Amino acid sequence: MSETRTSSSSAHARSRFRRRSNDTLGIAWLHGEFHAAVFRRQSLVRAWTCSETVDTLPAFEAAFDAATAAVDFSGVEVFLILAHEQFVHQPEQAPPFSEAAARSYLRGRVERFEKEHGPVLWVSQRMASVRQDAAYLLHMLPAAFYDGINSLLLARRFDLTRVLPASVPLQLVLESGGVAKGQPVLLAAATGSTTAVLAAKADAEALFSRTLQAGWDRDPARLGVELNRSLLYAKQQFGVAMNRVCLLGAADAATRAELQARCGEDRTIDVVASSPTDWLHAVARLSARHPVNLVAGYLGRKRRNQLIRRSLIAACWLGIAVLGLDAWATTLRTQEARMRLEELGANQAAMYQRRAELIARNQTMDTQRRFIAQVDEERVPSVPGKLLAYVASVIPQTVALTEFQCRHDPATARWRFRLEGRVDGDEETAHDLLTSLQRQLTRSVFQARFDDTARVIVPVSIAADALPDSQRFAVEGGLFEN
Amino acid sequence: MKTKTPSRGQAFWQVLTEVPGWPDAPVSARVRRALPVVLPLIALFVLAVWRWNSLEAQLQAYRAETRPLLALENEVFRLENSVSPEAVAELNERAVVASRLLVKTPEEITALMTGLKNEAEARGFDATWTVGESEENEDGVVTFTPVRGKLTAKPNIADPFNGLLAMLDRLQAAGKRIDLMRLSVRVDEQKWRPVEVNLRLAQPKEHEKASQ
Repeated sequence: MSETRTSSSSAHARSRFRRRSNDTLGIAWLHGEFHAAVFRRQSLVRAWTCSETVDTLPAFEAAFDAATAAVDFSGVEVFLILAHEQFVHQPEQAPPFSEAAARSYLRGRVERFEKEHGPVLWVSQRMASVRQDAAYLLHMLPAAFYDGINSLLLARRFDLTRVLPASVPLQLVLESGGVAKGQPVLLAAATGSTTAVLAAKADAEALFSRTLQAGWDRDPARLGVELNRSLLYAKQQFGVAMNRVCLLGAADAATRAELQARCGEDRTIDVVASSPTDWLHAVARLSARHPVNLVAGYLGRKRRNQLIRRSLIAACWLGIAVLGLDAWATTLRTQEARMRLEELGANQAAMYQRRAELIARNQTMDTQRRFIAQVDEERVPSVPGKLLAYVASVIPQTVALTEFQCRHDPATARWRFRLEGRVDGDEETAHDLLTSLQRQLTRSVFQARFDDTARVIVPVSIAADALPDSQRFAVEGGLFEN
Repeated sequence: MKTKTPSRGQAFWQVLTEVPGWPDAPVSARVRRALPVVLPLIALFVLAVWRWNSLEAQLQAYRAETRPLLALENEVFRLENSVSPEAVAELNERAVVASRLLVKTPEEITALMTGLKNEAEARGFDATWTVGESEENEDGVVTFTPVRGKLTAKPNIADPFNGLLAMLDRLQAAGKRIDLMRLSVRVDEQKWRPVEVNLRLAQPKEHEKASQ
């Protein structure tokens, strides 16, 4: 039986492989009831209701196939409003410290539940609270049950994007203005064999949610009792006096009278025409990221995988483009290098010859520079004549120069000179005149430096008993400037 | 880590080959789904291998072969631009001018000495010049020939001092390189003793002579 179903599902999937549109299929599976509706851009296109009771997954599969055929659904996206005995809704009071602490606490509660009942998909829905604690409603769906639904949808290449509890569309009806606001209300909606109850404050904030195992068309008395208990519970737990009960769906006058009798004469019983198809329509407008969506995580994972895949493809093509450009540029560079090599190879002999010529030219120039330096620039300046002329110009009349010598010393590359002569006068006069002469030569352009030890002054006597009337002298030195 | 690797690989395989809405898709469909990723990857790999193994190697081979030729070209360029043609011409000109300063042959020395003797004669001096042996100069491009001179003032000379100075200036203006290395002037009782002059003449070396 299972193999037959799988093969038929695969065949079904293959037949639909290329036939896809953007339509969305909404399924409301509410305790035995099965409603389907197709939406195109959030507008209802077609709706279908299963006439038989759908309680189990095989029955769901059959109803689903019938529904897709009946509404001629060609899209991919499917969402599900689920009210089932396996879908557990558990109120919890979490510590009010922070969102993270509350989430951690709820996770702990879920883990405890999973120890007894196996893994579940879960989501928490924030409810109004009058105490310090944060009130949540935990929606827990067994993973095996979800996998069953998801597998049969995937086998048909449908994508289950939203799984929502019945409380979500009820709250949407409340918020959309289908039920007049302004005062607290107890909302009751027929969900198959059960009745979903949602208590809300005047501002439409949900207080609590219940599922009653009774319907107003079959057992209005029992339902009336349960509704009254809910009204009392709201009064006791939340301090909210609810005087209004709103029935979503169709209810005759007898039913209303029965409920009125059970709930009290001071309570108003309203009937608002609203069907599961309307709820599907309301949910179709919701984003897949709705906080109470049980499969939001799966969708996130799927989107991430798609993003990774697309990024990978983009990166590959980008890499090909970049590498291709690089290869093209390298090819151009290779061609240039080859042409350059050919060009240089053709000129190689000429370049070697030219280099030899240039080296020879530079060597010749070096030789010429040395030649010019030695011949012209290193010639010995004509100092002796200039020094002789200068000495003759500065020497006093009372001094007679008898010898002048000036020679070039190749070892020091400096000039040496020697002056000898005679001074008419006493020794002191000779000393002063010589000192003056030396000072003039020292300060001259020649910057003469005299050897102190070489300075000699000797008196010259004509007669042995007469005072000397002249002094002979000799000085030596060197020149610092030419 | 070891336990995670297969699961990560599996997850990657799933990401790569997952057919939307068809979890039990056959391998053919999964392979077809993976083609948009796998084909570019293969192309990328092939391109990279070709780029780095073939193209780059070829380019490097060309460059390696070109390198010595490029070095040669650069050297030629550097040598070409190390000296401007104007500088070469100027240097040649200066070398020619400098070479004119050298006394190249013994005959030229004799002629020069004769000229100097005549110059001294004109300035009231009797000049005798004695040319010595050329000095060895290992490092230089020129050698020097010493010349010893004796200038004796004539008795009738009016101003031997200025005549001597003019004679010394004439040595510099002779058009040849004549270095005055020593000058010795002695006067005794208003009478000029012979003036001793040591000169040095620049001559090209033997091989320089040959090259010139």
